[in-house]
Amino acid sequence: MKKLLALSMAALVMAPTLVLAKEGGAHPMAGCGVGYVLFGHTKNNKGTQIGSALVSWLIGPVTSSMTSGTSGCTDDGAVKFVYAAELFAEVNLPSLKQEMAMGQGEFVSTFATLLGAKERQVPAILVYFQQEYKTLFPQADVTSTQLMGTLSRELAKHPELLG
Amino acid sequence: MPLINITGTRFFYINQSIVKHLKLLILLSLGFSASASCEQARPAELLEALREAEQQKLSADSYWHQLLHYRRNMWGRYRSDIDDPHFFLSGPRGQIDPAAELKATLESFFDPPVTSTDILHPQCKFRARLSWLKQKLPEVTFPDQDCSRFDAWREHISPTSVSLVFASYYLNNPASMYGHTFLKLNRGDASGSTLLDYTINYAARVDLGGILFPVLGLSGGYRGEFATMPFYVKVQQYNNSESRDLWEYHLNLNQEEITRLIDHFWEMLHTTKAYFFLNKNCSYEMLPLLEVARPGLHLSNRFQYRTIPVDTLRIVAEAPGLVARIDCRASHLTKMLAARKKLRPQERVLAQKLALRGSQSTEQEIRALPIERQVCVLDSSHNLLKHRYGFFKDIPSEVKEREQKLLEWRSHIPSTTTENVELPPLGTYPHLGHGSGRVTLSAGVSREQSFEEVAVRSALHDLNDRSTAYFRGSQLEMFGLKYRTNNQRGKVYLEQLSLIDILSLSPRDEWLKPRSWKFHLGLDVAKDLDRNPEGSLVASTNGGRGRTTTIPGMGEKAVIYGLLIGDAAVGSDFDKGYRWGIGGMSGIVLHGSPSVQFHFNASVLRYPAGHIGNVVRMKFTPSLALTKMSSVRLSFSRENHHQEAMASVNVYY
Repeated sequence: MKKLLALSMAALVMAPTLVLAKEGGAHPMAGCGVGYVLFGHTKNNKGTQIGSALVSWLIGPVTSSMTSGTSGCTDDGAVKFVYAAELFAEVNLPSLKQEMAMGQGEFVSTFATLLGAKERQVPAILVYFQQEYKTLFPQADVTSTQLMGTLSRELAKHPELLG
Repeated sequence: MPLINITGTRFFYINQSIVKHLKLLILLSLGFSASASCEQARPAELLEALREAEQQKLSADSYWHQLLHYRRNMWGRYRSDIDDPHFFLSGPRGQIDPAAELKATLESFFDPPVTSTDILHPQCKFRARLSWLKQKLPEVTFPDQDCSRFDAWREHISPTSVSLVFASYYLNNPASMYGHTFLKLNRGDASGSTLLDYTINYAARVDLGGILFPVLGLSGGYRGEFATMPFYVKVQQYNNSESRDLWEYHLNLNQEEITRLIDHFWEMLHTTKAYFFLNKNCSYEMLPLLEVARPGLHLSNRFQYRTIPVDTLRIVAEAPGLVARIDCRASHLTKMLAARKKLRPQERVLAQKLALRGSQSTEQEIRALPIERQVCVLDSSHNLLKHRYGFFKDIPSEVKEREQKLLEWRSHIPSTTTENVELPPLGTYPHLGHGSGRVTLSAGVSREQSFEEVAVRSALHDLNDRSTAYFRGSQLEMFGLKYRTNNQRGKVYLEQLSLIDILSLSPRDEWLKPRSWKFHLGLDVAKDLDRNPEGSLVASTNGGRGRTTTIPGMGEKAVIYGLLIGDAAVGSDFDKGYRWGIGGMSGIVLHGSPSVQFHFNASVLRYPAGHIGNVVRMKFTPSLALTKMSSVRLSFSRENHHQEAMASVNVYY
């Protein structure tokens, strides 16, 4: 229950900053190095893409770090406890979308524990996600922020799941 | 000075002289007392520590050198790989003077306490140094300093074991055969999931890109930095976005060793280094961390000039008693193909239609299947959709709608069984491939001469090398040099200097549609000119695109390919000094087994400009791998009228 409250608070606080950040192009969650995954090379200009493609041809794909903003992470890269579920949803949204529809999977099980579920509660939550799929993902373009908002509302109606 | 009183001047000079000497005397005595009181201001424990460190010659200890990343050059001078001034407490001198750095480190540990968490007290910043010095100087009492920021971070990371993770190759990118490595700090989650484990990564901060990217990357123009992030970030990046298998080599480091590794990683987290793509790259930097964890491991020495990630993996895998076990986290593509094998032919067609087009009739056909078959088809269809349109790229809205509809449908089927994906069979562990470098000794004959050839290839793999742990159909050769001796004329000459040679043959099927391609750049002997080979060396480049398919009835053992080629060369033996042309290339590759391969290749090129003419080339190469590190092959080739046959022995290193 405490975790659910913290979750709702965090979602409320994070939601506007995430939306604004997306408009602005920078991403507040990127401080843990996730910027690379989310934006890949598409944020680079054509010149960098050609240059990095050239290097990739020759010596293999090159890892590069893109960091911007750290509100989801500490200065040393650890994910802040209260943002753990939000960051997980942000980074793993495509996997969560699939596994919530399937009602099983490593990503959705881990996500359930980040929401506060004990191990014995996880199977029931997975069934719930599958049954409520249309509520959680009402249209194709649902963002992770929207998902977290919906979850905090819906889970509040079912205290037995996380209680 | 005469003591004659003349208008007081001389008396003035005498007085000035006495005053000057008096002043000097006063200053000297003040100086002595000042230094005496400085000595007194230094704590006795610090003096004791400095004395004891001097006596034990700690600054000459190999562990101190490992912690500071000192390397000894051929003149016996030390220089640290790290060029970040914030890493050295003794200023710029620290990079080249282990003794000065040790002294400054000990002194700074006695600095006044720091209460803010934004600034790290040296005791909190250099945890590994502190632990080691405390252990070596047990009689010294170091002042207490609260390091809550480090403690909180460590508590959060909390590893019970460490793994080295290797990202293997991906489709249509031969250079990805080099691989990539990073470390994973395992929490030992009760559920068995590793997604929340933290990772240790080293990467270049690319702030200035464009065409300078290769130049800056190869010359240390970028700063490399360490970072930590949850493993799920890497899973999305490697498993999904790039469709690369992740091989996890569990290391059996004990808790003390893990503590040393974490403490030193913390020190590196707040440091940057010049990043060099070729040697001091992502994979190299994992090795000093392991050497600090377990002194006595010698991993990084042989990687001073060239670090290929798969080579670092090999050296870790072969270090006695270091690797406990190996697991594989399959890529999206591997899982997709494994699940597709379980579909019946008609189901494959339905899954593909649903993913790429989605129509009412397709849906009706799927709904007519038994429920458990519907699940297989829907899951495979979703896999194909993600493979074709990507995970994080911009996806067209109609595809998103199709995916939404598919997943909504899937959500109505209750989950019963768990996914069971067949992993790649044992024996394809990535460290089991042949060595990256190769030396070749050959002997051959042509119509004009008999010859011997010596060749060295820096990296990496061709279609006739043993294919275990490499991607069949992928060829990447870099920095290859061949010298021949002509027995009839007693000449030694350069036969080939290959800067880059890439051939990427990825078979197509209904679901996978990669384009095969090739690229070559180097110096070659233009044998079609029918002149002395030492006079026919030309600078050449060629490239092409085409398709590869499997041969029906032979499964994955044989492929046939066809490419459209463009070719250009410059050389003094050409009419007008150059030629360029276009044409086609075709070939067959037969894999009897990973150790036995046959490659037949033919090309026809028409050169309408410069040195005008046509060149027909053919080559047949059967090969046999004897061991992991040696192989033999024959090659029979012709270029217009020139024909030759050659037998070769390869040794990999």
